[in-house]
Amino acid sequence: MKNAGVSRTAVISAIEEVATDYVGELMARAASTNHLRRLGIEGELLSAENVNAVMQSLEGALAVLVGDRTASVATGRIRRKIGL
Amino acid sequence: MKKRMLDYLVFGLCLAWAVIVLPRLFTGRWSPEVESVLTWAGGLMRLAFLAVAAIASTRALWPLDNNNPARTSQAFLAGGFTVYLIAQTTLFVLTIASGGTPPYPSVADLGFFIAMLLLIAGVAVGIRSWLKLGLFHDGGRNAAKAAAVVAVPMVIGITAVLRSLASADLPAAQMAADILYPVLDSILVIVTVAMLRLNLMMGRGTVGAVWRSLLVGFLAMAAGDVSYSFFAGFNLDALDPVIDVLYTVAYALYARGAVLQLMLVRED
Repeated sequence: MKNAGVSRTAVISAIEEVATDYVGELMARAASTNHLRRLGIEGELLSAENVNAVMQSLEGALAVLVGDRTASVATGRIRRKIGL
Repeated sequence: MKKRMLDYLVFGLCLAWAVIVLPRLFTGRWSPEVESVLTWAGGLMRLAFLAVAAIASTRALWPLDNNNPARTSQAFLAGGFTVYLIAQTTLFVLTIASGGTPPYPSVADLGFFIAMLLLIAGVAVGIRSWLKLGLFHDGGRNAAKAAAVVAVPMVIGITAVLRSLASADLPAAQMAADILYPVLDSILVIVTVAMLRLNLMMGRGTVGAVWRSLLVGFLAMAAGDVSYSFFAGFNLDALDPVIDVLYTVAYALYARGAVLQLMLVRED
């Protein structure tokens, strides 16, 4: 991983941008904030472990809605947007 | 692009079929030869839609991992469409063999009941797995309210149907079928409305589009069943084209939803 930390806003906005295509704007917003909250990630700067945990949690949830393969592709797109 | 082509095909066929059969509302039945052609064309088109729905929803199972909760819901839906296809094929054969009036109830009706149970289970399990994600800010309360709102008139309607059946002198098999259709249709409509309410929160996302197609299809099918019972009860045979179009739209929407689902899980 190249970056030492990623801003919370960048992560949320990348999740929202990608997830909106699949689950609409409202649910994408809920997904981004819920997963961070559920994992207890509160700081403004997210570590690599934090981002990985969020991506893993999000992929599991998206898999229920769009299937495992598409969920994996979606989280890959999110990671690229964040620059990881 | 693929989705747009699918939409043109599905909605184009439905519109064309409505333009062909609805004028019979005003003209009455046409010559036996034309009616025979319409029976074959309509029957085969509906079977084709159901075959597409059954194949696509079964293939959509493959990319889902064994431990994915969506797999159970998808398996019920795939099973439901497959049994529906078998039942509809049986009904088609019976219709042709009987010269237009198949026996009621028949083995096809048994298939429809099993298919409806599978579809109800598919939607109910789908709702459960969606709610478990914890993404709905109201925890599904609005979906429960929407289901309750439609459940009240449904229960009143079923009670009225059961009362009228109690006084009717019908063979046991027909009595059972006359009871099961409205009961299963009502349960399907109630779970469908709950799922639609959840679906509304998905806006224009592809998941929403898939489920809306399937759910509106379920509502069209229930409307077809209710219309069939109502028109048959009052001997309103002239209104048969309405039922014909409702079932065609329902099956077309199943096919569309199942193909969109397959495209979604395969990331096409």
